[in-house]
Amino acid sequence: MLRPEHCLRLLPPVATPGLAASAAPFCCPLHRRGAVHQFRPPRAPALRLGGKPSSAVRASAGPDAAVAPAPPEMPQREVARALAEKAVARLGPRLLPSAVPDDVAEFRNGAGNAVGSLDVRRGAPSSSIDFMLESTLHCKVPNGAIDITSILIFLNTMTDAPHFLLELIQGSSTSIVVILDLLPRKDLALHPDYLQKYYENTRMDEQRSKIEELPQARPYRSPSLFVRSACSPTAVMVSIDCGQGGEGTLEEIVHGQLAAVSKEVLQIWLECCADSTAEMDDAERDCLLKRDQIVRSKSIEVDLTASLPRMFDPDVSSRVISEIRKAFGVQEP
Amino acid sequence: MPRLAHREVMLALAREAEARLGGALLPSEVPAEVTCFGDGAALGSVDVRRGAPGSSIDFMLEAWFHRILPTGTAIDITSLIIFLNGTTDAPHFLMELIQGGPASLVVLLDLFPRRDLPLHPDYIDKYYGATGVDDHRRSITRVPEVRPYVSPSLLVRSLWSPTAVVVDVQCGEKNGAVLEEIVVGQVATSAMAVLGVWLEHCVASVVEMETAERESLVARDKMISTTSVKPNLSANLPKMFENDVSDRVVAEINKAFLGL
Repeated sequence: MLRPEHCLRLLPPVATPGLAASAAPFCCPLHRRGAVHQFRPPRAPALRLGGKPSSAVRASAGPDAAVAPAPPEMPQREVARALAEKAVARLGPRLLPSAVPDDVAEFRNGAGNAVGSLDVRRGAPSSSIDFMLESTLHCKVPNGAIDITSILIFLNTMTDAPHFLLELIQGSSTSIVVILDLLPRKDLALHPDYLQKYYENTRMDEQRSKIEELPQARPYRSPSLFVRSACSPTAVMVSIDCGQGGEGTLEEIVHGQLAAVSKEVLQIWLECCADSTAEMDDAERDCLLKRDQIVRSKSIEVDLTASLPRMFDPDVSSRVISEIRKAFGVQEP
Repeated sequence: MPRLAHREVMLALAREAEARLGGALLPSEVPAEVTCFGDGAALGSVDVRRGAPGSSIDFMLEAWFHRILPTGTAIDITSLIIFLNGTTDAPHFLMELIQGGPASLVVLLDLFPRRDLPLHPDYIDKYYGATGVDDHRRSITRVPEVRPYVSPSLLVRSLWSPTAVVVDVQCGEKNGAVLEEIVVGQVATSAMAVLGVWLEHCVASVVEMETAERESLVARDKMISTTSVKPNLSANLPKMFENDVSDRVVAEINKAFLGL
């Protein structure tokens, strides 16, 4: 949920409301929702991590609909898709089916140069999962494109275990920003046992090292001081830059080291956090709740309310932001 | 005692702090054998001035330790720590410089936070955002020889503010002169600038707090002092100095942190 400013500067100015802006893509939700829907023609280019890539042809909703070509299959989306599938498979019935409306599940801007997808699955009642959010954004810019992929799995107050976060921000074909963390939910200074349990015993730091050791990796400092403060001491926060001509190298790194480490971190999270429950008194629970609310709302505020309106038409971006706020349980302003 | 560039930086900051704090600091009560100790291959100094009644200062501690190893390499550790008390929640000032050879230096420089930051975004905005202190961190990290320093202790890593300078300046074996230039240049400038921010925005920041809140702030300070700040400062002493000397010095450091 942590966009680098330098990428945002490449974004086009907010497009004037387009005719096709609210054209809802036709949907074929059976595989996704598990519920019976009327048959409809196949979906527009599937960006969603859970969906299969499809052809670029889609039946347009309106005569002037700009058909955005399907964004190229990108290593970062493949890596994220694999992770999302692993999480969904493991969490099983603890996640409710997605309830995101079609025009938020996939959305585009009127100018046809940006597409996005959002999937939110709430935790089942009595599970410790609050929600799982997956999103992708693809936006053409003068010299190429920006691609942002996120997976965020939040736990609720049945446990104090860390949340899972992966964010991949690619502003060029030769560089990518990676944020991968188990977000702590307690004041680490006051809870050395928490630090021990979730960060030392799990050897999270070895995972961080594997990425930071890459010669192409440099530290990434989020422009948001809040975001810097919210991450753990073992967070992976790097920019991997392979230089001119380094497309192949970056692809290798994404499919290789990055895929392996993010899979390992998810595995650690699934094993040590997803299943954990914690006894807490009311004061502790209130504190946890408050902290979670702030982290969620600051991450929306910092991130999406800034970047979405710059990529998408106002009605599209407000619809998407509204859906995300719902998932996060943040009050509408 | 040969001049050492980074120690000069610390001393300049200490004198500036004293000048600006004036009567908010009581005179030192540290015995002479602690303000200056050791001989030959191991020398050191620790000086502590407590805050005057009514001031926001808890104490100011200046320390340096110098030891020449049997190999001939010199280890130099230099610290300036100014702790605030329960009349404010503003960050402490902390600087530590650790030189393990002529061409490499670890620089730790921070407005040390006293609250659980994600729970207090307004605290982040007030002391770190609005003050522009991150600019000074950026200035240092732009120096090509500077790279991040990753503490082996996860606890230590978790205590820093989002704008902390936590770096390792590596100039290569033969480049002591390059290091010295960086120290008297960018490091000195940024350190003085961060001290300036602290003097302007933190020392005078009186904050209304309910008793319970103040108590938990002070308790948090104590916890961090005990688990991290104090041990880091004292840990090397028994390795560098004779037992009776290091005991005496550690005792004085404990007095400062524990308010005895």
